[in-house]
Amino acid sequence: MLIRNGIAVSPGVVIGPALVLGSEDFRIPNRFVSVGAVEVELKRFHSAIEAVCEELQGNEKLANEQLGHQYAAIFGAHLQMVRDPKLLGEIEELVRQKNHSPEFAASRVLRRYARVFENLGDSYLRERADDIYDLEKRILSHLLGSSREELSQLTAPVLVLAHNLTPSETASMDTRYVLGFATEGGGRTSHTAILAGAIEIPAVVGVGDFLSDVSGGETVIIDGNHGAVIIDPDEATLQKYRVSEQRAKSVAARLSSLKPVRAETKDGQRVRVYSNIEFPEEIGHCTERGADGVGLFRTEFLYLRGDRPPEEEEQYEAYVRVIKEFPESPVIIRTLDIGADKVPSMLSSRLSRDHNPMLGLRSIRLSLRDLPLFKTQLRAILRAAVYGDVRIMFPLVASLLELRQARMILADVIEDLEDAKIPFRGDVPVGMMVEVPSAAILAAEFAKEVDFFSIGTNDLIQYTLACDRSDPQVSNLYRSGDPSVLRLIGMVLKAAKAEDIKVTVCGQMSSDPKFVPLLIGMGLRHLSATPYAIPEVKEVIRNISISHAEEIAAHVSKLELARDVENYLLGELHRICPDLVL
Amino acid sequence: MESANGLHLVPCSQIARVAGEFSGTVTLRNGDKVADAKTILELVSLVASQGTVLEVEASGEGCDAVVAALRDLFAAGFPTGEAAGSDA
Repeated sequence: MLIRNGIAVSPGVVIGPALVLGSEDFRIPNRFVSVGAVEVELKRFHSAIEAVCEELQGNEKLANEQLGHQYAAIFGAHLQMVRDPKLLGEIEELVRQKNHSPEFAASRVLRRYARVFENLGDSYLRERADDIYDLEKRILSHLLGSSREELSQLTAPVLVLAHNLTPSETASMDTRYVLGFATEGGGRTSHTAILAGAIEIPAVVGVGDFLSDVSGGETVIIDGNHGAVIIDPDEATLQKYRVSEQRAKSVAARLSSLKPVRAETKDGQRVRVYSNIEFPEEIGHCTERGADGVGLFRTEFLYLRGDRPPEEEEQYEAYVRVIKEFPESPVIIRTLDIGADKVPSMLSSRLSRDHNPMLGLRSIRLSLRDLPLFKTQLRAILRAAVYGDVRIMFPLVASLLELRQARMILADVIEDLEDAKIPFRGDVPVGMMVEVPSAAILAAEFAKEVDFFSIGTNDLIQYTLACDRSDPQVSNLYRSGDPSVLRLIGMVLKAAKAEDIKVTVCGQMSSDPKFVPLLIGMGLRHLSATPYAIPEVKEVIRNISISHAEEIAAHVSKLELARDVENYLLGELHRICPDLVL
Repeated sequence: MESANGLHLVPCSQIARVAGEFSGTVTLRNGDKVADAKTILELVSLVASQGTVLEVEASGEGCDAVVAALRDLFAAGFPTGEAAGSDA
């Protein structure tokens, strides 16, 4: 048994067989296969060889037609090498006798031949070693590529273990078969991590090198609650996890029955529970769980799909799709919030790489710098807004000047749409994220100029505590329960109350059940959580009274350390909803 | 072995292709080095440069035909393309 720790990015526990994916640089992910997997692995090897042959035949034909037969003969020779019975026999034997993975076996055998060629003493033949390395690359690319293709052709449940997964690979995972995943790279806010939450499978990222310790088909546990990957677990560990897997399932089943139930405290105070979404495709998760609306519709996905900015029409359609599912409820659309960790290729040239990206040109700063990009998005939102209760939200606002500039551009866009006689909705409420400490400190001033606030706790904590939570060296300093953070939230709530504007909390904090009583006690009546957390959040709300929540908030305000706050809240949660405490 | 580059990659692949169609065993010998003629990687390892004398040994059904085919290949100087005939 081997336990490796990473960053938990999507909760839940799963147990299952591993599917190991290699990286694009042909690093061999696993050197050995389990005895039972030998035949399957050999079959995979032979299909890879077939594919290489087809590729070489294609090249041979092409070379014959365009370059001449003497060049085609080179591919013919390569073809003969791939079909070399001795070579294939040696590779097969390593897989069969020594349980080498086909990748490892092919690489070993081919490299041995390359070395033989290098030592032949004939300069012409020495160079043929390169032909062998080329062949090795071809075979590996088909072998590793074929396992990546497997992702879309799965027929049995697996846990995917990879060096890295691209956002599109993550998004296209068939969740009937991919039960969870773990990657060597990636941070908490990497796009793949956010997507894992969106497709709702347990996931751990940033594990560091571990693929060489695991073979395809081996039993693995992914603990998305604690960020652990357990390879080849012993019986006691398996037993422990099976019990918690079972318990989580039964709690989830009970919670899902809460869908039609309104989120209301014991003493009848209505609390709105909205949903954070990343993709239009997630809208089903929200309606299934009875969300009161969309509290945060991130729009970055539009910008990460290609190498050019999305057209207005493409955006419009994505927004309309979500709005039509919630025609009567608020849908808060946040304008482009590309962070340094999510830089898509198209924008990379505009973002500074050398300086601290978290404090650099991102989010609203980028929008204000690139007006065509910003205006296109605003037009699409305003046009889509005719279908429902849409609200626009600007991210990362740090000064009143930025807010005023953004509002001015919005006014320009409205004017343009009017002139062009294009149908749109002009009375869309405009709000801002409060995630920079400066915005929290000046909340009273900002409250006079916006229709609502949404507190983005993830960035607010990070900027307040000067701590990058994706940096393992300091991530322990990132604490949602830090009194400084709570005081800033209190200031925002107070300022909003004075101006009678609404406040939502949309960071991870409002998806964490232990913080829900505190936030309600501090006066919050709108929460926006990731879809999977909605039933839990509702459950907490229905089991607490406003007076109890206020007592909790009063007690917390006297605590000085994040640790004490979090322990106290966990204890309270245990009293309110014992089975939600993991 | 009369070709200028000796038994390099392309001639080896042609030998392996011809030998591969033969069901028995066929070997090429260069001094004390012996190669299974069906495997290009062993043929290359013979390092047969121009002027080398190679011995062919075949056994099994149709062994005369395979030896004849190999002799033709050597005599023709390992042609590629249309001149390769049966190779198509």
